[in-house]
Amino acid sequence: MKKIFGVLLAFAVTGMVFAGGGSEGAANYPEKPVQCIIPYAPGGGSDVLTRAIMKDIKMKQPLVAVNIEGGAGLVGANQALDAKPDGYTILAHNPLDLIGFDLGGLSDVKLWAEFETVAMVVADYDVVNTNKASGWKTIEDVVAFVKANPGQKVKWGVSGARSVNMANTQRIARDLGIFDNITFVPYDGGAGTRKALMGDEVRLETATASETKALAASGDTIPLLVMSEKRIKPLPNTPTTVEKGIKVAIAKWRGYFAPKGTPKAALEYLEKALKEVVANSEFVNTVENKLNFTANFVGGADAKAQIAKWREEIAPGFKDLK
Amino acid sequence: MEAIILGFQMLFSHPSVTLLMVFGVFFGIIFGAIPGLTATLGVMLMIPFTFTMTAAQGLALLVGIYVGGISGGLITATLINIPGTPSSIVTCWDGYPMAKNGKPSEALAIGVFASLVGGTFSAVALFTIAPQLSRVALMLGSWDLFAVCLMGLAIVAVMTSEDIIKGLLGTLIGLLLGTVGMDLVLGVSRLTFGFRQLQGGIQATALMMSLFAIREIMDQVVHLKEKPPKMTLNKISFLPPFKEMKGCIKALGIGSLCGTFIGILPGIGQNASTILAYNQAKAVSKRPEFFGKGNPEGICASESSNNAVNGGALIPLVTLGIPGDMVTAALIGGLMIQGLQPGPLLFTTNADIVGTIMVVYFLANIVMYVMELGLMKVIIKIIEVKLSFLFPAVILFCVLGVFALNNRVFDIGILIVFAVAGYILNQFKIDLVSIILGFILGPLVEKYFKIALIREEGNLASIFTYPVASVCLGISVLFLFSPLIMKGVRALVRKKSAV
Repeated sequence: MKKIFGVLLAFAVTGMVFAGGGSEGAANYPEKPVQCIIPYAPGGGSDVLTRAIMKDIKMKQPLVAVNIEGGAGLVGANQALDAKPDGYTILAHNPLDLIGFDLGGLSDVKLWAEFETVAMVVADYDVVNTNKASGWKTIEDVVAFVKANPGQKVKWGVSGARSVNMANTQRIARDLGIFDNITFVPYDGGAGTRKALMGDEVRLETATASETKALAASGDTIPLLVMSEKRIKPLPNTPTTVEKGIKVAIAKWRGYFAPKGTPKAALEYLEKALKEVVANSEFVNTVENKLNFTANFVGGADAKAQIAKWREEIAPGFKDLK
Repeated sequence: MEAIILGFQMLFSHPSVTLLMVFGVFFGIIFGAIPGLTATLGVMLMIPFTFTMTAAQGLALLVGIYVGGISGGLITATLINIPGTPSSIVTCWDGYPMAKNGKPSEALAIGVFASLVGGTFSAVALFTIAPQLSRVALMLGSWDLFAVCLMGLAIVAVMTSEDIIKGLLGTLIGLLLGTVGMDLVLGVSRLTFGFRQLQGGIQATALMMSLFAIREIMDQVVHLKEKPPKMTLNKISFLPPFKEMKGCIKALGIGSLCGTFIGILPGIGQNASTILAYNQAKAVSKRPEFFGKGNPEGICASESSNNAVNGGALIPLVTLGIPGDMVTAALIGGLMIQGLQPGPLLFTTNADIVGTIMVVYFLANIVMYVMELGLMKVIIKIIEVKLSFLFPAVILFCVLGVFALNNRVFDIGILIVFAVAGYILNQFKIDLVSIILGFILGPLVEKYFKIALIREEGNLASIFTYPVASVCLGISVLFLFSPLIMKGVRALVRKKSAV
């Protein structure tokens, strides 16, 4: 009896909260600063991007960044998931990481589906790199080397063992027909693979274009292949996977998410504000010329559909992970 | 060399850069000196402000906080036996006894001087051989790093404790705590007991402040009614009391070398460095029995090494664009938002910025020295405050600092749980510092082991093809089995003499 009463009470309270949120919150949103959870440390790529957005976004109330790091971005995502869905907590995250948490079995919740998708704002691209010691200049050199030395395994550094980065890397290796001659070595993030490649602990690496640009300019890293359909601005001379007949071309977007049940008015308000930022030429300049991302706005509904499609595409790759 | 000249030019032509650095050092010292508020937190709070500054201004501010924050921790460590920042845990061991022996101002002066020496040493390394050192860091592969970390663990487990079993036990507890959360390579969640907040592991600052600040307060409140030892203040001069510092040169050298080298390697950090330097200094000291009872050598080893780590961590940053710790990662973000591309080219394309980092780091150490000695007259008044007022304030700041790092109430729970656990363990004389070292080095050992093993396709014996790794592994084994070996040797000698 007590239990039933408790449940009823809970329903009543929830109903009241929702009703309250619906009526007054919608019209005047936002009435207080909006907290944006960044699931990585201050100073990282996601952090710097959100701070750039904070500077240029035009909202009635400011956007405030809160860094909650740990678990390669999972801890912050979970905190956002558990936050009150009132439009005053949002999450900055990479859709591919959210998919990876699900497919890799790191999270029991399908985070990418649970969240409301506000928008995707900029894209980064994964790039296959080699170092000076290898002597390779093109992806064909790699294939030729492997074919000429079948007994020798080539080490390929990736970020995380059960990540989208690893899955996509393996798909590319299969398409190139060199899968069996590669040892995939998982590191904990881009700084790890970068150091391994420069120290010649691995001969190939899958990193992001934003991390690669400076090292490619100095010649320490030689980009061989960009996972994209069209050539990208940060590395205009590097051929793409699609050019080479490889179908893996998923960009690494950066997006904004909100806990499920966030009022529609709030989501629309945020989406519109983000859209305006991405149209702002000063912001585009910061993002493209300083941070090496590509600015491109994708609205919430389209983004959600796109993310679901990516999940379908990547899922088989996770089954084949070795 | 050209970069350094450009750096000086930048400082002279832009007084705001110098001013921000001085402010940063001051802010850092305050954050470092208040237990619970750490250098990391200070940097985190200031990062957003740097985004609106020029690159040189932002870097000067952050580097200043870094230097001041790491050094500032020695003040409370020395005066009330509570580390102001986790990196000065080891400073307590000799700083506080020395202060209790009636030499608080000397102990502080020695600590501040050692900070200066360590910082300056690593600054000189940064000026002169940064590219060479970073090449050494690149040459070390996963097996090498695995063995280096393992060696650190073995040395401390055996050496810190009087009782090797208790040292090993502490290390084991630390290793276990280090496994909590997602593992760094494969991403498997472990020992989280259903708490999502634990997926990122136990928050390091919460753990360290609980074991060394809150636990220490619990220890001290028992004696609150007793009259505290009367500390008399002597005159503070700008030169350290050299006559107290006999034999300290070796400790300073070890601390500076150890700190600079550990700074270059990613992820190890100040805490492990001070512990290792302290043990080494003790091993080579002429009066090791005096360690832990107010030996200036102990203060020197600890404080020189934690400040040397800062300069070491800047080396891979300026030469390769690879961050060594959280603060240097933040510096990279600061560079990027200014449109600079951190990487090997930074030295040639933006020599002025690289120079500014180096010169600011060097000068921040000197500013830190002057400022801490200048503030000493005020700071030292802490010991005249009644502990019954001071302790609640310290606890409050610990709670505040631990909460602020990740905006989570959960971490305050960690603080409380481990303070109680630490108190109990301390009663059993389990070495708390070996817990910390196990907690820091354990995950690194595991990470490098996994990466190396995957890279070598499961071939364990491949470790012997790496010379550095083999040597470190040999040393670890020697240390771990040293009691057995010594026993065997003694038995052998006895047998011979009996015959």
